[in-house]
Amino acid sequence: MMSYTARHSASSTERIRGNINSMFTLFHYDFMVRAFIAGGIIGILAPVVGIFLVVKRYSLMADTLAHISLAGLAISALLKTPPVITAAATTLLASLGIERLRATRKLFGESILALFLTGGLAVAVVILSAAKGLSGNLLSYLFGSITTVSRLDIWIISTLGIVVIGTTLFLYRQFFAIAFDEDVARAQGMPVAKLNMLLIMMAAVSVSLALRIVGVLLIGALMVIPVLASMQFGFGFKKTTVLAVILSLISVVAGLWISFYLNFASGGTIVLIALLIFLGSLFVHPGTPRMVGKTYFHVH
Amino acid sequence: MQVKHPQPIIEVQGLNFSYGAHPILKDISFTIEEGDYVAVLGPNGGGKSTLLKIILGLLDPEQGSVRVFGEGIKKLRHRERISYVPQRAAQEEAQFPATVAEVVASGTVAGSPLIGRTQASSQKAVRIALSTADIGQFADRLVYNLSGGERQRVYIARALAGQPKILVLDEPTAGVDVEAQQHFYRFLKQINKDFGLTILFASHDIDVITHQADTVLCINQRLVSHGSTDDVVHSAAFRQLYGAHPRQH
Repeated sequence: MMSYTARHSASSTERIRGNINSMFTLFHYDFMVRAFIAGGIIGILAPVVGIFLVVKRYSLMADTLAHISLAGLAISALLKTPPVITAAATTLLASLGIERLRATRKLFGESILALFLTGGLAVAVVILSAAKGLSGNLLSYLFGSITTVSRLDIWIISTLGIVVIGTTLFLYRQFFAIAFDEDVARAQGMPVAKLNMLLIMMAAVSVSLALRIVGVLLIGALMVIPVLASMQFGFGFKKTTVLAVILSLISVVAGLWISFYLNFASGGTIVLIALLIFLGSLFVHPGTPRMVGKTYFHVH
Repeated sequence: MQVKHPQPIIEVQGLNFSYGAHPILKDISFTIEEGDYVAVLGPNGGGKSTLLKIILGLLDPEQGSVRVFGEGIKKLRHRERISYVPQRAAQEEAQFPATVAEVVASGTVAGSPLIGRTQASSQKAVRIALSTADIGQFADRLVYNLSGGERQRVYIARALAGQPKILVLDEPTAGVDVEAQQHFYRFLKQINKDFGLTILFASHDIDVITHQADTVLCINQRLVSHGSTDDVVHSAAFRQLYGAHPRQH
């Protein structure tokens, strides 16, 4: 006969096992599996591209591209074309315009971003208001909706995501060199304009891929906040990038989990978790004391 | 025994440049030879930085030509043979998360092929550059945590890591204290001698320049004087611009 303690212990174990099982019931749903695959790719992609935007002081670039992608979504609803592809094509075209205009140095960088941001939004609003009935899915694109990730989306996100991550890693040293000092890179004959263009095009693609998960209004945050949190730890560029990816993945996974069980909008939940991580990172003291009293140059 | 004559490495001919209606450089011509240690001296607004940027191909002259290694600067192949240390404000790197080693390594990127680059040779160049600039002990520290003088050494190391033939520096000691400036220019002289590197630097500090450089290019929109440091400081045009210089006494 089982003692009380043994019976109690067995029921506790079953309860814990039950709780753990129920925590993973979300994987019984195909749409959640798809959301985690897409979220995982975007969780890596966003900070890998985002870190270059942050250090080049282009943090608002992602937001601008996201608003332009909204125009792409409106065009896709009007023309009945695949939303992610249409949004990607629209943001790519706009990114070329942004970089061209920036290269002329006739306007301040942030003014160019403001022009494109408001322009994209205006185009979207006009198309959506002119063609009534197109705004059905709009909320899911504005704030992200994990239930809308289709098999086709997974293929598009995986393929383009791997291309963007691969390109960024392949040209990592070049992107670092132009991010740290464009003039030095240009003086040494590096194709700075082409590399800048490529970087912005990759940001455009990243934004379009993240629409389903994080939404138009919040993708900028996922590209920037994990990077800012990671920068508080006082690491070098490579380690900061790796840590930003880890923090971004934590935000995405925890955000998807919570949004499933509490029925929250996925994009907002992911970004709120990223913000909490950022707030926590502000209490980190990297311990990099300045050296004082050192003679600057020794000639041997 | 045949004596090896130095070759002209930078040739500037009839250079004119203006920002809108405001002329910056007027009819500047000079030649710099391989291995020269040259100071570009002139008052603020005299066109020193503009001249360096034109030589580097960062600005296009309105008139005139710049030839480096015998080729027009715009069509120059292997531009990585020129390294540049720009004038910069400390806030530019504020919070940029990069270690000294990462910044110095970025100096090897322009010269590396995209595919099949030799990582080992880049790493060796970085090690040598860190050691030459005597900053090996800082390799893992963040650049924005360094003092102005230490940071300047990092930029020199980055420039050296590219194994250049010409090193161009714009006001390299701005914001650095006087003692550190003396060390810095002696260090430049040393690498000029040790590596046969042609060095061209801009400064408005007459004292430092006249004690350190071999050749001086004095400009104030026009070429005021060009030649050995002694010849320039004794020239009438120089005295007219700066008055009598302590070195003359």
